[in-house]
Amino acid sequence: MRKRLKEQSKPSLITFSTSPMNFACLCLLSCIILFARIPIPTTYAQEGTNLEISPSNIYIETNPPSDARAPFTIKNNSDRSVSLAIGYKVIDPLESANGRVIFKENPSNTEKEIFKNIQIVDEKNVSYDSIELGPKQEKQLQMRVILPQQQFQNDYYFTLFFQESPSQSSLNTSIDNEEDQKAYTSLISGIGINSFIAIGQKTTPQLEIEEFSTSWVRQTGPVPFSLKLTNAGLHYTRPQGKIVIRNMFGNVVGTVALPKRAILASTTREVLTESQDPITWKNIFLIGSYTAELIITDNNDYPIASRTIRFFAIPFILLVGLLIIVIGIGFIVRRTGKKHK
Amino acid sequence: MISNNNRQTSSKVRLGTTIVTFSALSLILSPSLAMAATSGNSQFMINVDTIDTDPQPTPKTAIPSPQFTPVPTLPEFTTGLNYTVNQNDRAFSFSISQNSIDFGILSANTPVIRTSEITMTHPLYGAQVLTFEDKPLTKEDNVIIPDTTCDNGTCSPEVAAEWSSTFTYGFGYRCESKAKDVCDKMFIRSKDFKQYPDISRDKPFSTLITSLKNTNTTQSTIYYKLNVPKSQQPGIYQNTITFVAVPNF
Repeated sequence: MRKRLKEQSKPSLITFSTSPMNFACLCLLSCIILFARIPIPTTYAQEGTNLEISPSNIYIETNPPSDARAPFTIKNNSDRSVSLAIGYKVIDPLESANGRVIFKENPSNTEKEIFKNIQIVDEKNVSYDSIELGPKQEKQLQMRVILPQQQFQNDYYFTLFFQESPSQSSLNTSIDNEEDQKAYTSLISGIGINSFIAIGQKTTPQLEIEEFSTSWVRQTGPVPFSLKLTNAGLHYTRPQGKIVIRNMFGNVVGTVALPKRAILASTTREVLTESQDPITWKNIFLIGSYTAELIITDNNDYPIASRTIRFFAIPFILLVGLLIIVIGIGFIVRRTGKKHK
Repeated sequence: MISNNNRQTSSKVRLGTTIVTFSALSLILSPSLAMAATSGNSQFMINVDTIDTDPQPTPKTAIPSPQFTPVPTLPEFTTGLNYTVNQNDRAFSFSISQNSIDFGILSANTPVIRTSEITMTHPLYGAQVLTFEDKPLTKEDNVIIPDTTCDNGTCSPEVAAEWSSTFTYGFGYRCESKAKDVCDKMFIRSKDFKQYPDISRDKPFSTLITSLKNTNTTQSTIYYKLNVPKSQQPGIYQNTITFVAVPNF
């Protein structure tokens, strides 16, 4: 009896855990303690910039007087507003001949003068030096090139830029202790459209085939061609063309279309595919003599240059294999014949 | 009956004790917070936003999948009186992950590295990203943190070189391609850095990323590294870095 009383009078801490309510509280407390120890990231994601532009290159051919308009769209894909300043930078045609844009460090006044004739306008002809784009907003604009009759006939190549204006609001420039050193860098982005303007009367492109070659002898295909074209004309050109391959009987066995790439005035360009590989005839099995005829045409399919080269395909391994088989069969036939005699 | 009650009570006691012990152990053994470091006494206080315990570049593996909405296609040709416009090239987009880099409170001989991501969807013939800084990191009275010249003093906006010594000071960057090999080939070693070209000194843009291949999307991580000596004057240093995407033709 005394023992029972003693047990019944056992108090506090132990009896605390026996109640289901308290047990649940204890579990909750444990969870809180555990989760409170998990570090929560204190840095918040900073919204960046995401700009999209279409098209990436604009080609204009114009004969003054003219008021040419090239439509394009620019879109802000991010969730914050952006303010974009509009600017121009002159492309160096010689350095950029192969399609990768390099800007002129010190463009001449003549090259810069064209910018006086260019405006960026909307459909209501409102001109902009800068544009504001809200989150996910897209704007349809036009590059307007107004040229008087006496405009100097020439080509102008430049990149039209939309560059974010620097914003200091995103930076927390406060410093608690004057002895501290703190550093911040603002990141701003921009996007460009390459613009190629040919001013003057339309002329037949003066293209010269600087190089058209492949290895003289080969075992198998595919056949890569080395191709360089020189534009000796006054204006840039975007020629079309193809390589027609004929076998030793004169039959056409393959045709490879050339990609339509711009060749700037007075430059030489290596013509490559979209993936920057040489122009290639992909046929694998080749035997005998072949001719490859390069035909360059203008936009109206009028031929402006052509050249023919010859190459031979001798599948040495196949021939050696066949020779061994023939010798083997001959040997067996001879032995069998001797035995029969 | 009594012994049965005793058994139930003792099992609950054991359970309760286990939970309490587990809670106490979790309190003691779980890793302490590393969000910010603050220490001091009545005379001083040190507050560091983030302690960079591994000041070397550590590439992240997770590649977020960018989502781009297609821009409506424009007509291939636009013609008018005395002109023709051809614009059959497709759209392209360019994004940077953030609009500022906060290096926090700087500590002498303790390099700080921050990162940002650059993503580009390509036009038909590829594109490139050019970069430059408006000035070196500068405070109000025009005192600067100069651009780094790397460990052997050879790195420049054009040439990358190794920067691993904590006694080499300045500001520099490196670029690491995530999916395709698009960053400047000079960043071949993981500790190679370059200077940003300073446009206030008429330095030409540097090519940061070049993609000639007709690929859909490329991603790169830019590492910004800053290290100051003890003699660096206190204050807030700032500059602006510009990234410009230009399509090929």
